[in-house]
Amino acid sequence: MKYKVISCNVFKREIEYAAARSPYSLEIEFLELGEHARPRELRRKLQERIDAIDGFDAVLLGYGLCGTATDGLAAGKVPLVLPRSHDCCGILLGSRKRFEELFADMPSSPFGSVGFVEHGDYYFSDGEMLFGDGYAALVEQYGEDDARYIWDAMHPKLDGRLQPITFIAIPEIPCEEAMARCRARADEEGRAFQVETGSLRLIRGLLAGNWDESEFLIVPPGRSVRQVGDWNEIIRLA
Amino acid sequence: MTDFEALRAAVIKGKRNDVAAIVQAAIDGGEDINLILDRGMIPAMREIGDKFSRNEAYVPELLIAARAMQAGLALLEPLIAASGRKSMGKVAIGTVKGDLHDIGKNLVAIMLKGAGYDVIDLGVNCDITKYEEGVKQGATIIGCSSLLTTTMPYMKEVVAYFKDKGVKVVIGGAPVTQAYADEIGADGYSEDANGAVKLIDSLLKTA
Repeated sequence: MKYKVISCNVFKREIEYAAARSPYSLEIEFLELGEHARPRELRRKLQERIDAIDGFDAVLLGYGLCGTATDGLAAGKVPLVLPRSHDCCGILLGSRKRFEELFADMPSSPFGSVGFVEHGDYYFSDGEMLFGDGYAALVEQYGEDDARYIWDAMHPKLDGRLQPITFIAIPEIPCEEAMARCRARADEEGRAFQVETGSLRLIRGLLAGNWDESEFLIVPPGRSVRQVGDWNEIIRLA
Repeated sequence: MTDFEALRAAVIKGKRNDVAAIVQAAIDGGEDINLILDRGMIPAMREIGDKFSRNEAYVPELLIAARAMQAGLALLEPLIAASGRKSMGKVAIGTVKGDLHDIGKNLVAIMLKGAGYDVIDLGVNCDITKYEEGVKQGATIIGCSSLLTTTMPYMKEVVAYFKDKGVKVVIGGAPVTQAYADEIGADGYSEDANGAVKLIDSLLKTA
């Protein structure tokens, strides 16, 4: 089997680890992390790539629903396969059930992983990202008073407290340094920090062609992905 | 004579002290309150909202513009109340349970206030009980917002709960679509804050 993998680089280490142990021929392309903040653009980028792919047995997506970025995405010449997950958090945790156990009560809680720290996202990047500007940059651009207002609005609190951040540590992937950076950032912001064990289960399944329909959506040519608006199915065929 | 162009520019640039000064001067000069809103602040918020939709403005710019508009509204609100101007209606608005993101919800609230609605802001993480409090305070329309695909499903429960209770439920937020609104039987959906005002106008006209 020969698969084309298109993935967010939040999974770079996990996919490289699993790919090195896969029996199949994989051609892997990573796209920048954080593009879920502009789902329409991400969808367009993904669709362009998918449409151009031929000569593979399937296109495997290292994406979940990702802020609706994959809603409406159509398979090209070959089937398209993606995990049924709202976002990378569920994929990093290895199952929807685990995601529900940890996040059903407060889905707005932030999370981190090696990929988040290494590739930056709104929580770590001070760059161009929509939610991103670091506090110092905000002060420089808008002045102290507005900067504080913007910062507070972008860091929502519940009952006056920031939500804890959960760092997802996958045993096979070295993460001490990333975890330390995530913890330091959480301390800086006055956020509680906690660690949960993740799993390569879904990523392995994706790359190994082990696509149980309860966990993966297989989109044949001519069909597309549609978001469901629930926690069980998440996406279905349109 | 009010410089509406200067007022619009101050709102768009998020210069809240300038907005407050221009609005106060307009009030002192006996300017028509409706003109301050309709020719100054509301078109400015519409413009920044449209820019944001076109990726020409970022969240911080949107936030300070809304803050500036709020500074102007705060000066106008007591006068509006004293003038006995009839409210357009009462809307209770909140971000759904599990979701703490309120930037979009706040924008809708501010646009509704500017358009003459009484807005009960229920805040974030609203469960059905919280929305019901808004109804008890006289709201005939409930506005539900969500930013996440994980929190959007709660809208279905809110819509189902208020079905046949004489309250209309409208929904919006980044992952929400017209198709989803239709599927769960919501009374309306809007893609942005400008559209939300039009939507609520039309719902109350036909009510």
